[in-house]
Amino acid sequence: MTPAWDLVVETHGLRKRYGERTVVDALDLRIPGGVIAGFLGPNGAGKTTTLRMLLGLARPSSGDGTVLGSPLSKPSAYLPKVGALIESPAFYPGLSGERNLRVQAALAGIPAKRIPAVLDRVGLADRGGDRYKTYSLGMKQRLGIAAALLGQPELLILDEPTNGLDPAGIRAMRELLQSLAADGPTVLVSSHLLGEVQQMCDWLVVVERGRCRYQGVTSDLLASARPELVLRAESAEALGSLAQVIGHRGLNVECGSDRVRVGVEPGTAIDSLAAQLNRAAYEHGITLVEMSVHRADLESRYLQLVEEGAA
Amino acid sequence: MIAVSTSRAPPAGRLRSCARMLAAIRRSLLAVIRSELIKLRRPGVIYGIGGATVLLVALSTVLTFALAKSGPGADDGFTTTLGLLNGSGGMSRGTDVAAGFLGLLVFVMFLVATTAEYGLGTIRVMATRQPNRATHLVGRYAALAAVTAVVIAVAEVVSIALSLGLAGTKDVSTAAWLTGAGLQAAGSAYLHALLAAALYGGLAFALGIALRSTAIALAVGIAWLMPFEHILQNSWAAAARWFPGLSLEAIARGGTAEVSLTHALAVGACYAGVAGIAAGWLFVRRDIAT
Repeated sequence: MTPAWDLVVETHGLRKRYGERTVVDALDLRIPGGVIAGFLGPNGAGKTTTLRMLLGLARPSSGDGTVLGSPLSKPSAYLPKVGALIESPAFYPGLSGERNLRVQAALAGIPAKRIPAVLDRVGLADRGGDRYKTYSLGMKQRLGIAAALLGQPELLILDEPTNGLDPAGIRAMRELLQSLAADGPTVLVSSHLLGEVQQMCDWLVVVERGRCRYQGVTSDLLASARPELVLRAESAEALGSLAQVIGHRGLNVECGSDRVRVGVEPGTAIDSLAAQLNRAAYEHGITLVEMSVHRADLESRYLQLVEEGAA
Repeated sequence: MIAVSTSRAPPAGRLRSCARMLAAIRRSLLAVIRSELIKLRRPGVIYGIGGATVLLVALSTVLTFALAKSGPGADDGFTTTLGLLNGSGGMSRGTDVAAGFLGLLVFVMFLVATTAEYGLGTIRVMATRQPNRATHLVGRYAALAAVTAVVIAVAEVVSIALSLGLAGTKDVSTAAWLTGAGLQAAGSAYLHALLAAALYGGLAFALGIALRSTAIALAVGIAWLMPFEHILQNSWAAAARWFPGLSLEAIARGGTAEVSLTHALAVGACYAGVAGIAAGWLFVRRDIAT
């Protein structure tokens, strides 16, 4: 098992060019051991290309790095300790799930006796003998994860494991990944489902146009966003006056058609501010019928980061 | 006390590390071969290749006997006479005739086995499971070549069995067949067919890796080996001596009147060698992006 907080993935100035097009641009990644790391970015941001470089499938144009302490230029040194599901699961449709795993186990020199255990781990113990082409999308994804688990990896790299799954499948996949991470390996998972990533990942890497926009603890990213106090008056006509009253107190205010939004500076006691604004509104003859705190979720922070990057 | 000089002996540490490296390569190769055989040992592949082999060789053997001309005849690699069938090589004549077609069947088998990995995306899984791509390539070729050896052996057994059954229909004597010379001829037929098939496989492997698409690679490969070379042969007499497909056909037949076996083997090996080096370089250097 990897000692917690040692970096299992570290890259310096990693770059990948296809002709004139730069897909990954001077990427400095740091993934600590023992975390579930979410790898986020819009389509074409360079996520899959980065994962391909980590897995030795693509050669970096420049830059270097290490995976599990071994250099990227020597993938044979670390790949036996890495399990991966890159893009969609890839298996032979005419072979059973179990036989497909036997092909991979034989190739990697992994004892075939591991196969029943990994099939059981992903809930496919009773379907292992069926042909892969008869599997549902969720089962195919789970077989992909079973294959990734074959070698008892220290690092699991999963590219869009929830792609195409229904809500129940997504939830099952989230629970599976959380239980896998509890067993020890570091998990690096790319996904577009930000809600899932927020629930699942304790470390985040956000890339946009091949560049890193954020990496660090998930809660730090969310905490760095300013919460908002949302106020609704009894009468919509009073919103303009309410905004003026709040603006005079030096607060950042935005007046909408039915609500007023007040930006809360970091370190401000929200309950106390809410009480002050309620009193001020009352003193100016405005009756408030709703006060709520809106905290930024991962989606809004992610979009903010991507927009900043694009700008 | 006896002094032993060790100054010229290679350092034991270096020898041990060399031995360890060789053992690791051997283990990796065996792992690739084992993995490939698990894939190939499935009903669809066995019945598909087996059925096509039996059909091809049966058709060739039946037509060889049916179309055999009377008279002694000389072995020019193409015409079959009753005189030739009565001789020691009569038992394996069907294999000789089928060998070129078997080569094409093996060509398709190698090509589809290669391009299917790209089509299914399994190539990226294989490349992460066996990061040493050169080992991967050599191991896969060895596994497919082993299957080819079995396919050719089955073909020859079927051809011999059919020949024994068909001999009576043409009043062909089998007295010379089961002699030492007859068995030697059968062995040579097997070896020629196997060599040709292995070289066809090498070309298919290279084409599959270069083009990565089953449809395109099949179209290019079959179009070149079948119509193009034969059309060009009509306008350029030396084509049979220098073109890859025609050289492999000559190997399969054990040499022809126009091209000796040695020359055909040299040309075929050159083509397969160059194709193998090019394919190896491409496979090792190129990103896997499917």
